[in-house]
Amino acid sequence: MTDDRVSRLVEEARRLRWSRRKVLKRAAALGLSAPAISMVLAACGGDDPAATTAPAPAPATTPTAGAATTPAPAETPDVEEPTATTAAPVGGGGIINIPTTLGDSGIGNPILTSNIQMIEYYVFNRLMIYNDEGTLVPELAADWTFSDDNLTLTITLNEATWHDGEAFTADDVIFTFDTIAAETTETGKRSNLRVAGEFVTWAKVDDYTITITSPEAFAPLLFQLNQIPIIPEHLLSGSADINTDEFNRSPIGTGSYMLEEWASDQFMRFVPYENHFRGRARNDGLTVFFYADTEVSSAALDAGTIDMMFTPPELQPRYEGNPNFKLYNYVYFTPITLSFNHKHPILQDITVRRAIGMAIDKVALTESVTRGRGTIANNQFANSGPLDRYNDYDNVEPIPFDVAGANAMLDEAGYAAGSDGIRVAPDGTRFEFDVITYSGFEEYQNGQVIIQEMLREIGMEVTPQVVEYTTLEGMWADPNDPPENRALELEEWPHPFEFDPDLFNELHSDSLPPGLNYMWFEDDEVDRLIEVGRTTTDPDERVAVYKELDVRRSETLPTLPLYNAVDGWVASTALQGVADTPYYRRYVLTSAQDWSK
Amino acid sequence: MTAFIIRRLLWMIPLLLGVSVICFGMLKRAPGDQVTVLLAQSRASGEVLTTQDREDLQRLYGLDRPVYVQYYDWLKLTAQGNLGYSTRMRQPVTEVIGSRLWNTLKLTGVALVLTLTIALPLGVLSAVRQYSKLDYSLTLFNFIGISIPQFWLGLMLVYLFAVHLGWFPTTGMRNPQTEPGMWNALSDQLRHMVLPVVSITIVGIAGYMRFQRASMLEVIRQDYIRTARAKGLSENKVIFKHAWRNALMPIITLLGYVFVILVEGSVVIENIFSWPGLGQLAVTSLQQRDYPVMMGIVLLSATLILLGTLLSDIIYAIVDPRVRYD
Repeated sequence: MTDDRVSRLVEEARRLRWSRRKVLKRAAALGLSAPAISMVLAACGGDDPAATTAPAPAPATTPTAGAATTPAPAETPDVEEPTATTAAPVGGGGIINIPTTLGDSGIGNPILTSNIQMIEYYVFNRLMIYNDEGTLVPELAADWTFSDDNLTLTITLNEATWHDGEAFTADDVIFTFDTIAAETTETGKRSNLRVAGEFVTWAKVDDYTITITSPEAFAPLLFQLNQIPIIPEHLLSGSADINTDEFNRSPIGTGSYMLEEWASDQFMRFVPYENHFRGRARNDGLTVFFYADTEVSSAALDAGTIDMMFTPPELQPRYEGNPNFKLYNYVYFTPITLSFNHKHPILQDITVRRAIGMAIDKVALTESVTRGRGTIANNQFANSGPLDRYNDYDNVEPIPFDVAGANAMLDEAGYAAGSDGIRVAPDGTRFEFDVITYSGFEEYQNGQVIIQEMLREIGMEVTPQVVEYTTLEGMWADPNDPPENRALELEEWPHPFEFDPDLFNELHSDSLPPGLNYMWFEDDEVDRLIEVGRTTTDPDERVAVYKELDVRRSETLPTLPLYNAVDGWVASTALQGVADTPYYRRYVLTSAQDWSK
Repeated sequence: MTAFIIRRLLWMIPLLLGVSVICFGMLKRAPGDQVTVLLAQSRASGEVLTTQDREDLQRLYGLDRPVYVQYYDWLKLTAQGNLGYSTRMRQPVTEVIGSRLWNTLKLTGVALVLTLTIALPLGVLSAVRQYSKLDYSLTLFNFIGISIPQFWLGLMLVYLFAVHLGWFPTTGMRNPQTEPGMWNALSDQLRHMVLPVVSITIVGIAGYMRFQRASMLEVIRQDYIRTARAKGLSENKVIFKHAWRNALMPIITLLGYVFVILVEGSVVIENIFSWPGLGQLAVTSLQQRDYPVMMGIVLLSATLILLGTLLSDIIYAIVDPRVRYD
């Protein structure tokens, strides 16, 4: 068994020219012993092949080494670490069972909904994709280059086939973009093709080349393109109504798996696509079960019905120390924050926001709600995700935990305590705030209660409110939602799973509700930095801009970073080929073909 | 009687209209809509979303029009027998509801038959042997059954019989890896049905048994029962022919709602056991703001309640000769 795994690993490492680090990581994930790992390294030559396999740089680019490189137009693709396996056809790896608690949308056309991500990633491919290490790598695109002015992107396509045997060509890409842009298509993906509010233009050069022209240099363009799965032109171009086409229940893509069976609200069964351009999956298929929540998933995991799942903090002790399971870390790309509604008359005062920051003991809060797994956050992005490099650890001053200082600041600002100990503004408004979060996360609800207690110490009466997520989204989008309804919000913010640091939607004053700047934050300098950040294409310069933004955010406090959540995901030890990656959400989607039992 | 039935059926039209106005208005008042859901899903997968996306979709779905216009359009379609398209699944609402209806009927039908078969005789027995050990035991069972939250009972059954003992599957309606063949499919389906059916049945038995016991206790103290005994009728004849028939009257009232129970199923149990029935559909549709499906389910429920009460009135007249609707 070990020999088989060793030989497979060697073959894969040679084929992909893996770095020594990558080989070690995969070997560890496969559970190989030290002698076996030595054998693998020896068989691979022991060198770091990265030094000899760097892709040819594109004319107008300055490639940046390292897996953590920011995707920006000025980059060439990193072709060393594709997300899909390129191993020779293997199979025989059993059927892998995984859950989803996001519900069954019943639609398999990935440009109409992102609800069933498994279909989007298993059945379809994108031009480029972030791998499980947060690096943008080619998928249906073979490579891409930007023109000198960074306005025109030329993409060369891979040779691939659809599950029905038809060849994938540039026509499919053009058709996908046209369909998304069409007014009658019920899609939330249009903005992926927009820059500064206008559609980019796309054109076919030949069967395997396309160009995309942007009205201005736009750093997040590749990130946006990575959000678009490509759909088949030959099957959908004649559709009377793409929103209700039969294709939506029987999708055909170019991905590693074909959808074999779809029992609504029960499960989806996928089988490997033998002719996938990166090779056949190791396993014999995947079954995705639809479950109501993590409690139900957990019972299924314990019973052996599924092989892995996401585990919130309250479920993690069940698997810690259990030899049948391995617990992995799972991180968000953004800290868990206490956001301030800037339309609220009291919270508009920076003194109040700062005093709240000083009254919260982040150490105690983090220790309690994350059961010791989280870390303190003072910067704009999580310290464990791919956006960490945009944090300015040198210049952002952490807010000290100082209750006496906070009280003194509020006294000095004229907010005296009333007879019941609750402060009152000069206009008579009491310091009473609702702190809102969405249901389903015990961690956040515990956090609300702790914050309630901490803020009582500085004369604030805080009432926890928990609402269903869709209800909260509805409140965000309503420009007339009274600020008292959600004076404070506790959640992951601004964007937990985006790989690009652009904050235009969340913090720019042009994005106020019904836009996504639902905390109504406005600051001219923050606006300026966001605008510079999204039009700066040089990765290093971009990092500098966002570091400046991090400092400005710490001065203006649109939101108070509290802690970096480290949730978990758990996998059965019977499952092989599982890597210890923090990007579980993405990993489950992009690496399933590597697993076997 | 015929005139009564026709009158009641005609009354259903304004009642259903009223229900639809109230429900449509309430659903529209709830924060969020299908666009909010679509964009939230996209955002959760790391999408870039703007106000422009929201406006495009709201226009496409017709959500930018006044609520009364949206209601009028819905009503016009519904009057033609078209409940519209599910915004979540982009399938006709009738197909979406129809595909779940049979699944729910399978589950609740079996559970209801078991519930009535067990609860009614035990209720009678408990009343006839009032204050006996059997009565105390059954009363204790009743209290436990009524007090246990159904979701907790369901989860406990899963942990005991599925996780620890491995006798039954944890959730779902069938195993995707089941070998082909009718018998394999049937046995697989029965195994999946056991735990949800038991969960519904235990709670159902407790409720119906208690109701039957109370009703029976009232009847067996009546003079005509004493008279029957005095006439020298056997105890079985007294109980089952004279007492039980009269003690069934309140149960018949409840049975008017059996339609609703049958069709709506157990919302909680279907969700815990991932059983793809109408109850699960209702919860998901509400969460996903799938208003066309929600309106379809509301209309179905309201119609069944009205038909159920009509049916119980008719059965009343059949069972009790004193009741006349002329």
